[in-house]
Amino acid sequence: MTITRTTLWLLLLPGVGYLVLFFGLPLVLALLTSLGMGTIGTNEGFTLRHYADLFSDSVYRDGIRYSLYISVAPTLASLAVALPLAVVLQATFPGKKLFLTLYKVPLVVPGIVAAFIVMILFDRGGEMSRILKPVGLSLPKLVRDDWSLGVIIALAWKSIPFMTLIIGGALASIPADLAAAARSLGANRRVVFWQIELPMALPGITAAVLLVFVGSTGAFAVPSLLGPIYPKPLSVWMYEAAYQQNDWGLATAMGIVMSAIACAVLLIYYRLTHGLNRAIGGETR
Amino acid sequence: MKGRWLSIGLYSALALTLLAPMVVAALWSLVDPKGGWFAPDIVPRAISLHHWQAIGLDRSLLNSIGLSVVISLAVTALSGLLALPTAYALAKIPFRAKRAIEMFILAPLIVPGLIVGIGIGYLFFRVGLAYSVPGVILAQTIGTLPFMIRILSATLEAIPADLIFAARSLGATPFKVGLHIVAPLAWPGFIAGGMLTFVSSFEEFEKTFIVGAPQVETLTVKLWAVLGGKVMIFPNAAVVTFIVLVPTVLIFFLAERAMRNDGALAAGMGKL
Amino acid sequence: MVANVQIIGLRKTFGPTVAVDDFSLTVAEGEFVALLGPSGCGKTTVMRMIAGITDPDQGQITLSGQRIDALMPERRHVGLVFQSYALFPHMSVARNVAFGLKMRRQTAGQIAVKVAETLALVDMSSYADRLPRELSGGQQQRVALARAIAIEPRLLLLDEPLSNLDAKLREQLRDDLKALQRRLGITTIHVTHDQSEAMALADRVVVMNAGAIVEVGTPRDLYQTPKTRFTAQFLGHTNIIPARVQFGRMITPWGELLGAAPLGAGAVQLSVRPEDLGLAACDQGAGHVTEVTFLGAEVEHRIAIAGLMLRSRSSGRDAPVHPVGTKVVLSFPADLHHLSQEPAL
Repeated sequence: MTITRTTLWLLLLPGVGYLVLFFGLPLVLALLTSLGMGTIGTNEGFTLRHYADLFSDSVYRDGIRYSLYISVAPTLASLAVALPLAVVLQATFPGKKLFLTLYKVPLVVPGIVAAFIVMILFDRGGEMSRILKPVGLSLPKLVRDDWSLGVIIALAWKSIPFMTLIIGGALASIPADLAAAARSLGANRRVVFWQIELPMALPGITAAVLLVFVGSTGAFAVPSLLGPIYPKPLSVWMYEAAYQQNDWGLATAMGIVMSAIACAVLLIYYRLTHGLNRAIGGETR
Repeated sequence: MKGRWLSIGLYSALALTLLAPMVVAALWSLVDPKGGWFAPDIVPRAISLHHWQAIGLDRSLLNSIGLSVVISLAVTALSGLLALPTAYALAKIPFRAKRAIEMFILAPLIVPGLIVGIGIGYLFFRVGLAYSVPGVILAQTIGTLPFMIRILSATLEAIPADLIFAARSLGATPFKVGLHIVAPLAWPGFIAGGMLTFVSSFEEFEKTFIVGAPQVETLTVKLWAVLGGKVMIFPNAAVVTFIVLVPTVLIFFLAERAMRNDGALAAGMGKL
Repeated sequence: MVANVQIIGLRKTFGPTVAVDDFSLTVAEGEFVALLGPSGCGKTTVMRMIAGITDPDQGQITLSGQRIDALMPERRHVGLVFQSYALFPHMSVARNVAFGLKMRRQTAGQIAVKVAETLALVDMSSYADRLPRELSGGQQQRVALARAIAIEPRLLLLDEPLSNLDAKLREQLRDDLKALQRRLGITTIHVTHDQSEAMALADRVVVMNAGAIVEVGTPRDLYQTPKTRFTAQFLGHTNIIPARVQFGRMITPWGELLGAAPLGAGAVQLSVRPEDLGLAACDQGAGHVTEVTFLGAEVEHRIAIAGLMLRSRSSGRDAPVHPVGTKVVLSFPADLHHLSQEPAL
């Protein structure tokens, strides 16, 4: 079966072409606009003014920092739950099949719904504080609080099943013989996990961490509903710049900065895990 | 029995993190407006279907439900159609630029949805697709297509080339091979991809909000309107929450049953 | 350090299927024993229970007097080599071999010496820094073997270690394995479905079928004087001939075997290896040739006689070839063998 170049490109065209047209093109337009050369807003010729505005304003600098905070914190929180959960789910227990379906429900719950649930449970006067009050306990402020704990809870709650699913898949694909071999060589369960299973599952863990991180970076609805009045994440400022102030140059500059941050984190993380990924690459590609 | 305590622990955690919030949300949707529900009451004074009835009479909500379903179905179909040939090429044909193309396909997952939304929103504004249902469908497909391509190509990759050669040598045309060999074996991938696409379209907010709102009001946009406004009406939000959740969770359960395991989903996303 | 093994009444079920039933075996210090049987006969399950990967339902396993069946696998001090090699893909060859030593908290110096020594033993010294996926199958299996013997195990368990290799390499590695085992004197239990491998390597072969031991013996005894039809047929080819002993005479379906020493009583089943069955052309012969196959080293004739289909093999350049249809008489070895544990037909 020989496939000509034409056939190949015809096969690739629908998917790749669509993304070039509706993803690549707008992104290029956004980049141009942020540099003052766009067709969005006024064309003023090449300038770095919008980036200068962005970085000189402490409000936006706080925004960048806050955006990073609300993507790193939920990612770490989810990982702290998802990794042990994925390990535990490799064992057999009664009702496993049902559990494997049920735990994934938050995967399909919209972020706004997650935010609403956090509100009714954890806001001051929410259900949790009502239940705890008669016992003499009180909750710290969790909604619109300085540490954005509510935002973190909502984002992590939504990401845990996704992470567990991917890490669990990576763990399950490790041949059982490897663990048996390690045990016979004198490694106990803990050592097998840290030295054999964890390094081998690293590509899956990497993928899960990155996807959750990126998903939280651009989160808009959840921090808008649950986050503090100040600082606001860059995504919220971007929306306001574009649709309330009509300052498209600034809005697109923010978008490009956020994308750049996501890409940078991706690259750094890749670097850090590269050696191991490559070693295992022969097995998992 | 082995693993009984594990089972008890896991199900308790599930009850606390999943069931309990749903119960509270359900109580909110059932609050009787005459009694209200104020602190420190742990349960509402009185319960009624008042808010459900009110919402049921709200034509705009019924429209939102229909609209969300139609948009999600369209996005799923469009993603599947666009993804299949590309996924096949990535899975089965070796070529030099493959790695680069795989990276490019992943890019929409890396760039935050709001940015994609603002970029595409402006483009659509210029070509007259803004605030239209087709515009929303096209915008959502940007986010779902990468998942669909990844999952389908992982599934197709797992089908041994020998099977296809064997079928061809037995006299099957490429079309018949696709129909009788590839399609039945790739079925779990289609289900997984289709489910993920439908659900992520149904719950998509950012791109829909920017491209479509306020003219195109899907359920999540509606929920935003109920929650994000100056006055928050918890009981109404609770009702809309259930209206969003019931179909998503239902589809999710059906797809889970059809898939039988997470293989296809995890294989598609388990590496970057 | 090398241990003897005593297994008593081992039993394991998976749901309704009985994988292993009433398995008892004693292995002497330094002995090489092969568990031989078709796939699904329970041999791998036995090995996994000895290693501690699978828990037995019943029975006990003792290494030099110490009960090990309740010990964690890491406490058993048993070396394990898999068909799949099971090398840790993210560790170099040297780190794979060092793994078990690190678990025993040896010093870096001790480990380095031992790793170098063991890799030299399996002829892999120059590959110490490679990753497993950069090695061929045969090389990977050498590393797996080195990793298992580096910890100086009391017992070495080999689970079809040669099955993933091609024929030439398999023979080479088989010889190396045997030499190594003799040299180190490690008690070894080798699981295989390949009868020639079992016979070439083992001091004693344990033939298994359907979860139970069929017969135990040296390769020579099992081949030449099998007690059961299963063993006779699983180890090479054989001709099974139903016969009757009457008034001191051996009666076959086609008549009396003249000069045969009478064995057993009443109905018996004779087992005659094809290479022991002689053949001569004779117009009055009761059998005739139905097929002739040239096998290189040997010529095989198939003979139809009294409703039976028998094989005869002769070797050497000058081995006679009888065309299809030739009438033949058969000649039998003087010491006829019958399957003593088989019920008569």
